[in-house]
Amino acid sequence: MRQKRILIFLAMSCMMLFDRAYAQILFFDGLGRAVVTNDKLNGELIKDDTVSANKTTSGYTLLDFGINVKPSENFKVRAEFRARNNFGQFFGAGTSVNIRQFKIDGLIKDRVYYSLGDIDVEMTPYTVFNNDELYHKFESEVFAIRRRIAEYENFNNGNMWRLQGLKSNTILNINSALRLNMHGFFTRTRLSNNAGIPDRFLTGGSINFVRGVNPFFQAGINYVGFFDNAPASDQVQYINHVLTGNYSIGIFREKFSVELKGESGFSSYDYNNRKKDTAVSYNDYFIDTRLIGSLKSIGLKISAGYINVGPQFSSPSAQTQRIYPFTAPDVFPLVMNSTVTRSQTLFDRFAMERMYNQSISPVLFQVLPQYSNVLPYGLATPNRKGITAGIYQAGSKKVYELEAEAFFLSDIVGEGTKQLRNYMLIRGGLALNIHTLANIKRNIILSGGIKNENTKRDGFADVNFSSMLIDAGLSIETIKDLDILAGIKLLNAKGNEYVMVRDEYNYAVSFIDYNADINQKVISGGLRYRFTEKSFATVNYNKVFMDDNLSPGNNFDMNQLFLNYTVRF
Amino acid sequence: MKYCYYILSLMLLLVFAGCKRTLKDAEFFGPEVISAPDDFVVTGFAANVDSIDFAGDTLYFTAAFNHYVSWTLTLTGQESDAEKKIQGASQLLDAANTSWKGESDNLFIFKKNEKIIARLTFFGTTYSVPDTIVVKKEKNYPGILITDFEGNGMVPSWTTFWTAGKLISKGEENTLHPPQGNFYFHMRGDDFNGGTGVGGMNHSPLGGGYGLSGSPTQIYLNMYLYGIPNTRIDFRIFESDGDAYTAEQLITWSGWRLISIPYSDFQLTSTSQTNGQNPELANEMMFLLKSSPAGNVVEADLDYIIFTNTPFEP
Repeated sequence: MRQKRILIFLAMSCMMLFDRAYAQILFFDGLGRAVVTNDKLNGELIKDDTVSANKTTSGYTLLDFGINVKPSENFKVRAEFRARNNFGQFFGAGTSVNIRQFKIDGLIKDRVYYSLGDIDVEMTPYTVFNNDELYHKFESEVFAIRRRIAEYENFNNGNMWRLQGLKSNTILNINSALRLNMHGFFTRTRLSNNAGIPDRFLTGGSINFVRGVNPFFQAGINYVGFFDNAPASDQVQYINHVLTGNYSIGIFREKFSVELKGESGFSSYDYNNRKKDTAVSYNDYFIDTRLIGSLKSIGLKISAGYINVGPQFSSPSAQTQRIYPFTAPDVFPLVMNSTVTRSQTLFDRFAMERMYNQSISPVLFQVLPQYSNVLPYGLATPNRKGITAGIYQAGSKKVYELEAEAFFLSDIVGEGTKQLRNYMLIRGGLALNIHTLANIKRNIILSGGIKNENTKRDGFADVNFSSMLIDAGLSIETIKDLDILAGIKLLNAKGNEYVMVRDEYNYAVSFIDYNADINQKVISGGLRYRFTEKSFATVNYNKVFMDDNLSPGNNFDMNQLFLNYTVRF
Repeated sequence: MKYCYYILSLMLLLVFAGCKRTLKDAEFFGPEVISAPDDFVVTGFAANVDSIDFAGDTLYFTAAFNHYVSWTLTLTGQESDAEKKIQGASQLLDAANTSWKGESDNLFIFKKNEKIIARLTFFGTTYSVPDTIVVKKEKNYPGILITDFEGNGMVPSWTTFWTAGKLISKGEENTLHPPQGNFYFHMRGDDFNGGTGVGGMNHSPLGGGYGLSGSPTQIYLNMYLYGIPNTRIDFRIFESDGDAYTAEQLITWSGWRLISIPYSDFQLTSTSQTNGQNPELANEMMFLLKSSPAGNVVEADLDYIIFTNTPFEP
């Protein structure tokens, strides 16, 4: 019945499209996509397995139809409907129609912008920030297409969190040189079950003074609160405050610029579990400061800095990982006669649509060291201090872009021992537009990236863990708008680490003795035809290898044929 | 203009002044981790008894190590899948650091007559030592047991009722692996007409009541609940003065989960009179199976229904 009503509403909306009077206030946008995958799993992991699936074909067709109603310049309502039919289900069987997102935007007195409904929120890397799950800036376009689908499906828009509530911002020009930026939001992240679990809210805001002329000056404060609206009878009462100050002072000349910028602040955590009659509270702080110099003539930017993030600095909206570490992959989720969840691979983590986490967690997820061990929770990773350095250069006429970033860090407090770990993270890459360099009309783009991590600790609980992630990609436009895409990802992780297991208060309750000698490889190749700038069709073949040298019984390889047709309008 | 700078400077100053570190004097974070060296040896690992009556006895382990190390003692029920982990750092095991009275870290409760494998493991090595103990009698949990569907508790039998045509299956079952014992109560129905109400289960009023006492805020109704999403359970408690109280739980998960609801969270039903909550008069219970949203096949399986003074922990 609900689906019928939605379809009737959609049909009426389409009819209105043909009325010119309505065209001024009513317009449509959206996305259509068809995906088909054919997968096959081979190897030791499913040897002698008579229950688990090892071949599958799946896919879907969907239409996201956005209806925008803009009765005035200062007010807009957007509702997005999704019609989806899974592959293999015809004539309406298995078709679902629902409202995917809903938002009201407006402008009050041409000054105060507000947005109500499904909103995206991002502040600073220590307050509200949805970190990328892995360093992928220089990955092949053949992988980036898959990642963009997963991100679209999970509302991962840049580093923003998708939340439900209200946000607003405004800019006040105090005088010709000075302005005041103000931003605030209020959202609910959890609904009460009326049986002991309370509503949970995330709210925050920032005030920034910006002096836009030389010397450039910016200073502000940011606040994020995450709390329960718990009556006395509810099981838990959780409150977490994060208050930070940010600053930036710079001199910007025609040929060069120098800027000192940073952010510092503290968190205050309070968790009362009435069920267990325990109350836990702690405070901690962080410091992040950078000196950045740039030479504009050669597009070069160099930075150096210091970070210190306390072991109990708690900022869930900046520390929650994008992928829950134990979510089963969409494809072949169960192995070993359907008794064991298949571990995530590098391929799963960027290609699977249903693995992404959309909720903010007050408890830090368990770290998977093979993917990220130095900064697994982004810059806000607790218990890290040390120096950082970076270099970035964009060649003239966009011929190339390169960047490199290094972190030399250590623990602030030992984890399970007085000995401190030392961490090193180096990451960077290069994207080269060969067609621009060689003055060729058709696009030829070469890209490569690398991330190397090392973790070491001496003593009775020694640690020696390293990982290397390598990306390489090539895109060649053959005939007009037809691209050959190729890419490879390599991950090697080796050594031992003690992985922290946390309780509901983020206390370390135990450590897992983690040993690894893993090699993962993803090789992909295919074609893309671009109908327009936003619409394309791709076909590619992916070969995934997972070699676990410590447990050869976990070895497997996976083949996947992937067909995708995407239209944006 | 100057005031803006002053206010902002003051705010920034407050931010920096608020920077305190609770852990600043701690030697390390978390439990101590000391790996076992290459020449590590364990001698005399054994339990104090071969079989244990958790109704009264305490189990502990003894062992001696040739180095001070971190250790993990994992106790796993071979039938129940209940698991208990005890961790520490020492050069010997004794009653002071390994005593155990049958509690579980996961949802499951150790069962009578099952074998428990005790495995002692160490960081930095694959060295492990096993031992086996048999459970003579399971742990007695404090509280008023309504039923465990194994024949124990104040209410030995339940009746079900269904909206016409909506029953799919019902009754005591042992198909799923329940958290306690072998049996649980199963209800499954189809809300084919979108009416939300599907069916339910209840029992006859107990003449002497459940024997509850104390403040409603200090009485909890606990149970294990297994269901499929889109199911809503309406819990109802009836008092002998005519009051009826309700609390609802939407099932959003798959598998078993432990539910604890304070008596004070129960709300008066719309058709009930109001004499205030009197737990000492509670004498009847009902569970209503509903579809939420309407029109779904719904299921709920219940096990180990018990009133306690603090939320139940296995």
